[in-house]
This record gives sequence, C-alpha cells and structure tokens, in this order.
Amino acid sequence: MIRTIFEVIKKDLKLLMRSKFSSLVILLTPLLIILITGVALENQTNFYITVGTYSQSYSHLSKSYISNLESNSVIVEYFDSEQECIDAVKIGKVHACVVFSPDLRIEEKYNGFIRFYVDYSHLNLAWIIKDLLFTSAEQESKEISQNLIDDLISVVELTNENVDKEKAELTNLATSNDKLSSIFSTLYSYISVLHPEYDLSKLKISDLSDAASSLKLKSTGVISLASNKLSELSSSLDSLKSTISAMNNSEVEATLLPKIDQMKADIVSYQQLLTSNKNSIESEAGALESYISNLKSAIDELSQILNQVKISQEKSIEYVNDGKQEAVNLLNYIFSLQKSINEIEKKIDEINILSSGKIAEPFKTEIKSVTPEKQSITLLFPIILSLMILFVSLVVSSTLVQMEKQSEAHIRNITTPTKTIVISLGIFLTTLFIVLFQFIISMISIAPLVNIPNFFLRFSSALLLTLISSPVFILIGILIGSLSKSEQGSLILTILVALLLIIFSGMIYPLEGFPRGFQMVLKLNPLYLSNYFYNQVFVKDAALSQMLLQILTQICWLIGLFISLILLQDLFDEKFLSRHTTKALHRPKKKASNKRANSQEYAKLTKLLLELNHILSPKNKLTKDQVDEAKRLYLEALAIYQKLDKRTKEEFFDELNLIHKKLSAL
Amino acid sequence: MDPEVFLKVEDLNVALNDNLILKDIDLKVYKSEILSFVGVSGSGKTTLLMTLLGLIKPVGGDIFFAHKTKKGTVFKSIFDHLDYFRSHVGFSTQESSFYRKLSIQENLEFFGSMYSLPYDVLKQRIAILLDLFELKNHRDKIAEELSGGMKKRLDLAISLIHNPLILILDEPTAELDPVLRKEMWYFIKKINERGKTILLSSHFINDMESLADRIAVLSDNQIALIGTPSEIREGMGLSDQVVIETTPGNYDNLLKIFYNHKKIGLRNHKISMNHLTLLVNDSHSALVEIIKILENSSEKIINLELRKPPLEELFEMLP
Repeated sequence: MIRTIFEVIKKDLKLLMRSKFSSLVILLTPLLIILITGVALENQTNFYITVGTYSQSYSHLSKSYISNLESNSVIVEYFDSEQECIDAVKIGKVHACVVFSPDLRIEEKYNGFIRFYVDYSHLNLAWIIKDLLFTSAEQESKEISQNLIDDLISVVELTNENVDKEKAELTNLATSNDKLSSIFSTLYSYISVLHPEYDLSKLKISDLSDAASSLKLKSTGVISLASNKLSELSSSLDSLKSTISAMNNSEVEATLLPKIDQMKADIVSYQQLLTSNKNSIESEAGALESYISNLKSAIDELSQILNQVKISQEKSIEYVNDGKQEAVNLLNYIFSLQKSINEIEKKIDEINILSSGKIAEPFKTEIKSVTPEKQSITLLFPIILSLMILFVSLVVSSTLVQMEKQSEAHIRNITTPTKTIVISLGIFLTTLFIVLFQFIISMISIAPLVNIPNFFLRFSSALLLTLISSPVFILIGILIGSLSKSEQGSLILTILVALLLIIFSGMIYPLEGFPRGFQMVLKLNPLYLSNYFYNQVFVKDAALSQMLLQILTQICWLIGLFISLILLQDLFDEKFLSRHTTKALHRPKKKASNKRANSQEYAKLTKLLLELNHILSPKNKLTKDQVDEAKRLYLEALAIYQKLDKRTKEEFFDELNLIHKKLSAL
Repeated sequence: MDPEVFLKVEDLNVALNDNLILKDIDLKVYKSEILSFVGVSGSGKTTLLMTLLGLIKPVGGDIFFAHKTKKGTVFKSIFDHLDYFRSHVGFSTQESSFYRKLSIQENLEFFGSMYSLPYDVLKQRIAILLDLFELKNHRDKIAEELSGGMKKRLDLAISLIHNPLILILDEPTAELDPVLRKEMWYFIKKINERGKTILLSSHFINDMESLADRIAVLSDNQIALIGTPSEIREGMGLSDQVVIETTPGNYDNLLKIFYNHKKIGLRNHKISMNHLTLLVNDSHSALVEIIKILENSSEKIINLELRKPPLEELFEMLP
C-alpha cells in the first residue's frame, strides 16, 4: 500500500507539474505573495491615515491638536464644511473627520468640543484610527489638564497656607468672641444693674427751688441785715468816732480813729462786699434759679433720658442678650468653621499627590507590545501564512480530487483492488507535500524581511503546527472535491468554504464582537486556530506547551474529518459510478460510422487505403503496373487527406506514413 | 470436449432510472473465447458489459464466475466477491481510461502499482506489453500526443497490465478508421491467442464475423440470438443477396414489381450508392426472375451480382 500511495503522489505531482500554469502557480504564488507584501511593508510600523478636519475658526488649541496628528504621520486635509468632511469619510477620501468647535478654548462657560467621525465599516482600521485620534486628543488634554491642575494645586497650596493662617485667626476670633461674650455679659451685668428709673420727685426740685429762693431771700436778707448791721455798725462807728472825737483824746483818736476808719472802710468794703455778694447772690441765686430751672428741665430731660435710657437699657439688654446669643452662635459658627477648616486642612494634608503630572495622569498608562516588534510585516505575516496554507490546501486538494474524478482513468482506478481511500490518501499527501514546499519557500523568502529574533528556531515549531493545521484544510478540500460534480462546482464550494472560514476567524471582524456563546464555537474554527498558532510562534514566541488545548482541538478536527472521509468514500464512489455509467450509456454512439456515412472524403480515403494495403501486402510480388497504380492511389489518397480536418487527419496519419515508407522502399 | 464455462449469467435484469434496460439475460461465457455483443444503439450492450464488470448492480438475476478450488470448480457471484473478480478482469471502454498527461511508461507503471504488482514483475510485464502493442519506441511519449490508434493500444495494454483472465472491451474500435480498426482486431486476436477470454461490443458486425468465436445479438433488451457467425446468419434465416446496378436507376418502380413477384421471394431491400441490394430467400431462383423483369423494363443493367450478405447489412435489415 505504501508503494501504491507513493505512486499516486508521484502521478499527482507529475500531472500538476506538466500543466505549466499549475506548476507556476504552485511554485511562484507563495514567493510572490511574500515578496510583494514583504517589500511593501518592510520596516513599516505606521498606518498611513488621512484625516479630514473642519472648524468655523481654528484656535491655537485646535491647531495644536492638528500638529499633534501630523507629527504622528497623519495626513490632514481641510474641508469647508462639516458635511463635506463627513461625506469624504463615507466615500473613503479620508479615514476620519475631526470637527472642532469654533475658537476652541478652555473656559468656564465655554462648551468646546472635538468631535470625531469614524467609519466603523473599516473594522480593524477603525480601531487604529480611533486609537490614533484619541491618543492625540488625550495627549493634548493631558497637557491642558496638567496646566489646569497646576493652577488648582497652587490654589490648594495657597488655600492650605491661608487655612493655617485663618485657623489662627479663627482661634483669635473665638477668643475675641469669648471676650465679646464676656463683654456682653459684663455689659449685661452693668446694664442690668442700671435702674434708670428714678423718682425725680425725690430730687425735690421744687423744694430746691424754694430753698434756693429762700436762700436767696435769706441770703439777701442776711446780707441786707448784715449790710444794715454794718450800716448800723458804721453808724455806730460813726458814733464812736464822734464819741472819740468827742473825747478828744488824740492818742485814742490816733489809735482808734484810724481803726475806726479802717473798720468803717472795712465795713464799707464789707458792705460793698456784701452788696456785691448780695448782688452776686442774687445773680447767682438767679443763676441758681435758672440752673434749677435748667435743672428742672434737665431733670425733665433726664427723666426723659432716663426713660429713654430705660428703654435703651431694655433694648440694650435685649440687644446684649441677642448679642450674647449671637456671640454664642458666632462661637458655634466659629467652631463649625474651625471644624470645616480642620477637615479641609486634614483633607489637604491627606492629599499625598500634589504634582500636576501625577494628578493629570495618576497612573502612567502606556500600551506596550507584548512582543518587541511592531513591524507591520511581522504582525501581518501569521495572517498571510495562514491564508496561504488555507487556500493552497483547499484549492490543490479539491483540484486534485476533481482532476482524478474528471479523468478518464478514474473509472479504471475504481475497478482495481486498490481502495479509493488510498487514492485520497495519496492526494492528501501530495497536497501536504506541496503545502510544506510552499511553507518552506515562504519561510526562506520572509526571513530577510522580518526582524524576528531566532527566526529559524521558531521555524521548527511553525513547521510542526503547519503539519497539524494544513491536513485539516486538505481534508476539507478533499471532501469538497469528492462532493462536487464538476470542477466549477468544486471551485465555487472551495471559495465559499474559505470565505466562511475567513469571516469567522477573527481576521476581518474580531471574534469578541460576536455573542459569548458563539465566540466559543468560533474559536473552534480551524483557520482561527491556524492563525493563532502562527501568531503565537512568530509574534509572541510562545512555546508549543502553551497551545496544547488549541493543538488538541485541531487534531480532533483532523481525526473527525479523516473518519468522515473514510465513511463517505464508498458513498462518493457509488455516486461517481452512477454518474459515470449514466454518462457512458448516454454517450453519443457511432462517431466513426457517422463520419463514414456523412463524409464522402472519409469513405473514399478509407477505401483507397484498403486498396493500397491490399496491393502493398507483403505476400504480393508487385509488377511495375501495380507499383504505378499504388503510387497513383497514394497520391489520390494524399489529395483527399489534405481536405480532412485535423482530428481526422490524425487517424490516417500513421497509416499513410506506413504506406509512404513501403512505396519509398519499392 | 465441452468448453469450460468461465462466466455464467442467469436471469439477469438490469434497470437504470426505473427503466428496464436488460431483461432475462441468460448467457454462458467460455474460457478463451471471444464473445462479441452486437446490437443497435440503446440495445443494452454497454449496460451488459458494465454489469459484467460489476459497475452496475442488477435488479434481478446474478452473474457467476468460475472459481477453481481443490474440490473442483465453484461458481461465485461476482457481486459478493467484487474485488477478487475485478482483480482478474481487465477492461477498456470506448473512451480511453488513462492519464493523458503521463507517458505510456508512466501510465503502465501507475496502473500496475494499483494492482500492487511487485516491481520486477511490473517491469517485465510492461516490457512484454510494449512489445506486444508495438509501443516500445514511444514509451516516453505523453499519452495525449499519441495518435488515435496508439491511444487505443495503450488502453488495451493498461487493461492487461495485471494479466487478467478476462478482458471486457466496450467499443474498442470506435473512432478508429478502418485501417486502425483492423489493427485493433489484430491485437485483440493476439491477446486471445494467449488464452484470454474476451467480451467485447462493437458496431462493426462484419469485423466480428472474422474475429469473434460467438456473437450475441441484443435486440429489444434481450439477447435475440447467440451463436457463431454462421449460426447467426442461419438464425436470421437470410442467406443471399442480389445486388443490382442499373441505369437510369428508377428502383422504385422495379421494387414494386419485385415485391409483387412471389418467385423472387423478396424479404427486404437497400438502396445505396446507386446499388440496389435485394435480400431474397433463394438467390439463384430469384436471379432468373429478376433478369427477366429487368430485360422487360426500361432499365439497363450495369452490374449484377450474387453475394452472401455481410452480417452488418443483415443486421441493419433487422426489423
């Protein structure tokens, strides 16, 4: 059986290679794909993205954002309206549209915006565009945030400083408040002890007035009396004097008269004094009266004032009480304020981070690649390889099966003791050989273009994984080829199956976009697994042990498909035989006789050749006439031969050739 | 000595798509004979051969092959021992069954390996077959570049690669000109001389006369006649032909007279290439009457001959 399989492989390879087109495709396709992609994407790490932009008026901020974009290799195109920009995205002229609010700035009452329009139908590219735009926006925002935060922090610091100060002030305030409170209390005590009500009648002003009047009277009376007495005295003195004088004692006169004069002078002065005193007493009494009157008025006023004072006192007491209460409240407020300030202080103290950078970006977020390489060709290579393996496996295997089925030889193969499954196995191994060949070519071609460390060490893992994945696709291709009735049908089915596998492999649309349950099913997709393998090996340098589950899944596919093929092979053979026998039984018959009936030339030529064969039969010894006749017939036959179509000519060629040789020999 | 029976067909009924193609076929195939199946298109020749090959399962009856055991010859159903039977059968259909893109040598090697022939045996056999079919000088030629005759020879060679006991050939000379056809019969004869039993179908009944040991005539989904060529001719009950060529050649009027003339015993006629062929019971007695009629007519005799009808013509005259 091994020899038979080997012969089948040999036969298939020969059949493929002898078709120039097939051999070119098999040899060159992987090379071309890898070379073109490699050269195009060599050292390429960025995506060339074009972004449209619009704003009624660009501010410094919006221009800064645009510069940011341009620094990330984004080509920016300006549009005259938002709609124009959006339309440009729709038709694919630009990949995204950024619209800035007019005069974009940071202000409390200004509602600025940066609006992005992205075409999500680009799927993978959409995320990249979004990431790029948002990264730029984020960068810009971060810078602005940082500046704002710097301002805030300085305010906080200032607040902190002021809080300390104000705390002290509050304490003073509290102290002052205490004092105030005690002042109020004292005031209250002072005010409260005031009894501004006074019975003014006690003052007995009228008595005073009477007394004053009486005193005036009495004073003036006294004075008058005194004056009178003095006058009497003076008169007395005068009398004395006169007496003395009468005495006509000189010594006594010398001694007493002066004195009596003096006394008289004194009395006069005293009288004058008394008079003045009387006058002044009178005036003073008058003044006193007016004072008393004033006093009365003053007392009245005072009474009023006292009333007012009383009222004021009452009010003051009220106010003092209020004041006291307010002082208490104020104290409470002060305490509350103190508490708040303490809390604020505590909170401010609790703020560990005061660096604007830290606040704007508390955690340094950075997206790092799990692999060192971001070269596009390196990232794309697993996908290219998976697709190449898929298409080569599917197309070559299904084509070989169809070639076998459509070949006239297949009916003969079915009737030999060799089971058709052996032929299928041969096709399987032939395709596998071709796939491995292309795989090796791809590896050799891509090696200089990608910067994958230990490339050839990873090659062995990739080879093993190819030996697991490729057979799955080959078996699918064999099943497709076996199921299809024609080459076209096989090709269409191959393309459909490939499309289904690709759509649900995550290469176009992430599997994570599907419902969770469905995702689990999709992760069984052999193409998903194949791509996963190559990604793990080439991009992430993962060990095979890390992919055990996926490898097992792929092996399960392999076993399942192989069993299906074995089970279905008899059914395929039956169907083929049924189609073949129907075709054979309905085959147009009597082609040769139709020609014979309808083609006079064919019939004539046949007759001529028969005659010639008869004449030139080795048994006959030819005469000259017979030779001439033979030559004549030969020329006639040649003339008819020239009129025949190419295919009919082929039928007669050997025979004519033989006759020519025989004639030449004669 | 009774010829050894190699294949037995008993009560065979074959239907395809609910149409009964063959009914009540009873047949014995003897060892080393050439049995030819003839019949009009649609008579079931190909169906019978494909059923004999085991490619079509009958709806009734069976086919048995002789299997020699120590106890003697036992007949086994081919359908129960298909693989074994097929390993002893070679076949060639109207369309050649080989790989057009492989050379003669490669085709023979491939099909030899499909029969799991040991390499040295295969090599030997290839050499013999190339010699037998005169393909030695063309062994490395790609099959599609061969002429029609060589393709047919290659096909035959492939069908013999595993040295089968029986060869089934369906229209082996279709699309071949008479010269190549003759060549093909020559090779078939050579094969038969090596002891191979050959079953073949052909439209060329004339060729079968000289080639086949027996001819089976299929008509109306059954074997109408089976026997040696002479037995067939006798079975058809027609022995003689009178071929006339006259001028101006108004055969219609003559035919009216001939058919009404009882002594001529005209069974059927054919007009081709200005010849009028009359199938009569007795050519000699008919000839006398025919000449009399012709002499009395306005027709001038150009040619007049008696001959035994080739089977093909008899066959075409079958109702």
